Amino acid sequence: MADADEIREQVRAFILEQFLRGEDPESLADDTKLASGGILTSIDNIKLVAFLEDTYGIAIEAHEVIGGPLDTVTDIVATVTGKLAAR
Amino acid sequence: MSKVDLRHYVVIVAQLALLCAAIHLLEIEQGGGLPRIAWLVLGGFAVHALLPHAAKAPFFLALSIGGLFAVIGLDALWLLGLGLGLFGLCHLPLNLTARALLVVLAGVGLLLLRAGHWQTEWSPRVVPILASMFMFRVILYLQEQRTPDDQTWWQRLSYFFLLPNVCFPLFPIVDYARYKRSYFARPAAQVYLKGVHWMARGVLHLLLYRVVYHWMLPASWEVTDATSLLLFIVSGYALYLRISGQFHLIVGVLCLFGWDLPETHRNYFLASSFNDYWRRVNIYWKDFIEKVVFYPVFLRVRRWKVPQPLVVAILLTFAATWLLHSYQWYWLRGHFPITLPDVLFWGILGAAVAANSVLETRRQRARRAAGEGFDLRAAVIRAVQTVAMFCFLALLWSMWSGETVGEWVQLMTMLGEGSRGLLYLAAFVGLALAGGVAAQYLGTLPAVQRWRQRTDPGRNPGATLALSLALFGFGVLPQTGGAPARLAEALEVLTHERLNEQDQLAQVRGYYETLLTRQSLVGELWRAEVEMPADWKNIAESPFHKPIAGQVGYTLHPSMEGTLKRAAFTTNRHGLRDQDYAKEKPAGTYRIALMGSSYSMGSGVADDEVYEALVEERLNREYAGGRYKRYEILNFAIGGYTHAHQVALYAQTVRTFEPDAVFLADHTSEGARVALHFSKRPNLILDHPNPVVRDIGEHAGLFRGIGEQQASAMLEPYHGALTVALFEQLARATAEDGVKLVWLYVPLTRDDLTKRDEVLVKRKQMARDAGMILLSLEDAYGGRSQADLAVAPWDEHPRPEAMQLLADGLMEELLRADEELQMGLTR
Repeated sequence: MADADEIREQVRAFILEQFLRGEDPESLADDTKLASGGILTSIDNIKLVAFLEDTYGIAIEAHEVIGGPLDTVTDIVATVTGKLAAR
Repeated sequence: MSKVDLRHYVVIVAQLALLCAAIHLLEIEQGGGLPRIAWLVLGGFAVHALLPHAAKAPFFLALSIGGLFAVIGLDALWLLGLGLGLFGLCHLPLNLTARALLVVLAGVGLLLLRAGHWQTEWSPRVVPILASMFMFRVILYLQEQRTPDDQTWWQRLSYFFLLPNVCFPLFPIVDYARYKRSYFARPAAQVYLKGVHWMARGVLHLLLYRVVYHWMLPASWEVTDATSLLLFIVSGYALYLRISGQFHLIVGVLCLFGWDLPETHRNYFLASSFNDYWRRVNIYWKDFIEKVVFYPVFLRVRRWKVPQPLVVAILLTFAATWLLHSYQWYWLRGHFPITLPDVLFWGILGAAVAANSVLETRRQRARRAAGEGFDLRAAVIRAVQTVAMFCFLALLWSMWSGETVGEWVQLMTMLGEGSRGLLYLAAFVGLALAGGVAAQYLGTLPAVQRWRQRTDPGRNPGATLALSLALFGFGVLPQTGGAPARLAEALEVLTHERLNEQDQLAQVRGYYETLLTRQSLVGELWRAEVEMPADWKNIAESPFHKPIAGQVGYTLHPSMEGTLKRAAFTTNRHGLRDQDYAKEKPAGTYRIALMGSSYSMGSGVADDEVYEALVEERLNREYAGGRYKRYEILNFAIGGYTHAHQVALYAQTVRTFEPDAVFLADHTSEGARVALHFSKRPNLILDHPNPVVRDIGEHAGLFRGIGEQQASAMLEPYHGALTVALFEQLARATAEDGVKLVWLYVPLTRDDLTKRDEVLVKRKQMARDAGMILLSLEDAYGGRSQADLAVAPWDEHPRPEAMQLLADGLMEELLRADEELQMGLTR
């Protein structure tokens, strides 16, 4: 099972590759607001959800998609590790 | 975070004071009561901003409740009671599902109330306004109850009874989670500055809307060629400024009280793709639908391994949008529309967004880094996409706003009429493309970027102050007088809330659905339906209505008693809304036959309050027993009748009553009404007994089976000719019978006095040329406002006091014209 740091790196890599191509990686902080900050559209959100579900074998609930559990890298890591631990 | 320094406080209060004065002077959203609560917003903000944080929420709730009373009076008690009941259901000590079910049940009860199944003590507007507060927000509120809620009871209640909501039944769907997160999320001054700026922007949008509504949007009968069609399409789309203006105002007010909410619309006319459009227009609706429908559906269908889960989710989302739009429509307008234009609009948009989204998922999103130079190729592509989107959406919007798809298709055939329209289209597209590329280039210039930052209202309140001052100045300008006549006329239109000609016509004939506003909550007339009781019916929808064959088309059932628009309505044995009369005129009687439409029929007032009944009573009280033993005024007027009906009615019925004089009631809108009547039934003009009228129909190019829109456009140049033909026909018929023919001008309560006189002069001349005796009640209302004359806010027909004014005016005219009429009133 991936640990939190590994998850963090994988998630950052995915976001930078898919949504922030060409941007300075330093611009993506762990507390950068993704959906609520307008960086991710609804299509991006579902790409992110698909990545998390397929990569970690977890189920994301609809109410977790918007502003909260998936809004920052830190939130995403916490959500994923929490769901993995609960399995 | 919720404290503001003195400098910002003074600046914001000054800006707000100017804006509130502008809202009052310009009658912004007056129909909804906004000028009344604008002062509440100003005073409330001035106090609220200085309160300690803990006191702000209860104060705002109190202010919101005060706003309810200010706008709807004591009905607010009912609204609060029902609202608190719904709120209470959300907090019963039951599981969430049970609470949701109870809310649904309560909703069904309110639904039946909206449909008018039960009579209530409160006015009809209570349920629509209550629904606008709860119909969507209760869904989001209950969703959030799954997680701990740290909001105070004041904040929770305020979420539903938000201050501006009472003025705006069409209200942005504020998400409860965002509502909680956004409360003083940034320093107060920044939030307040944003709020007042958005309010100013909202007022500007609403003024621009008036420009489009009064001066750009052609009436449906004026769409006669490609040029007018293109103007109709573009300006019809531009009417959306009303929604964006209202929403900017609403969210601006909420920002003033601490909620740092995002914008509701973002340059939606500049969308460059379907997804871009979906993300720019009514953003709160998009967020709501995504949260409540799109994400749950997508995640489910994905887990079920349904092919193309994204496409399925998007199509279902748009189906839900269509249904929820109709659900909203039901609460606000009282009926649930299921129409082909609606299905097509949401279906096409949904399919386009689905296709666009599939492309997006397959493409890597390239973001332009800040500081990148101007790329001409990319700018041209972007400009082409934006112009193409604008044109497509304007076209789609025109289809959605039409009454039927068939009618819309007929309208589009005007594209083939006249060659100039396509030239104008090409010029518009060319200019838009060039402008789009130039704007993108300018946006990359450092000087422009610095200017944008300097004028950012969050950093520099000067821009908002300038805009507020300009709006205030614009509102004050008409009061100063001395403007040239044309400018004064223009200002009169822009600075007052009033209907354009087409909507005035629609309201008089009783149809609240015009070619433009059929499917739209953008138009002017739907607001009246919020307050209109479910049992407020026109004569055509009442049990009194009796269809008959021929040119007359319909009459009234004889010997019926009942109510119409909640006023006593009785018909005599001859099917007239009047007391009983013998068919044969008694000896020594002066008999007048009054022919007219709903104003003369007395739509909305009781039997003895109609102006002709008042005049008849006074004639017999003061003048009977002189030259004539008795005076009779037989009221042949029926709502919806035009001169076309009345001319046929004279030949068929009126002459058999042997009147001494026939009074033909006329309005300024009558020319257009006659044309619309024939447009709906073109065979009536083609088979008309009057050869002159038949010739007009043939000359205009009408044919059997022609659609209403096309017929209306063809008859547009012939309004005057039709009136002349019908006047002359009636004059010949009455002359043959030895009956005096009188033209009686009855003013509409909504007559735009600046335009009326021009039309009145023409109609008087037509009547004079036909040999009629002229009586005019043009000054009867004595300059009173429509609000003081109309029987209800949703019905412009004269109330009893206005009927008395008409009666007094008619008596004066009868005395003045007694020598011509030979009624024996003057000795």
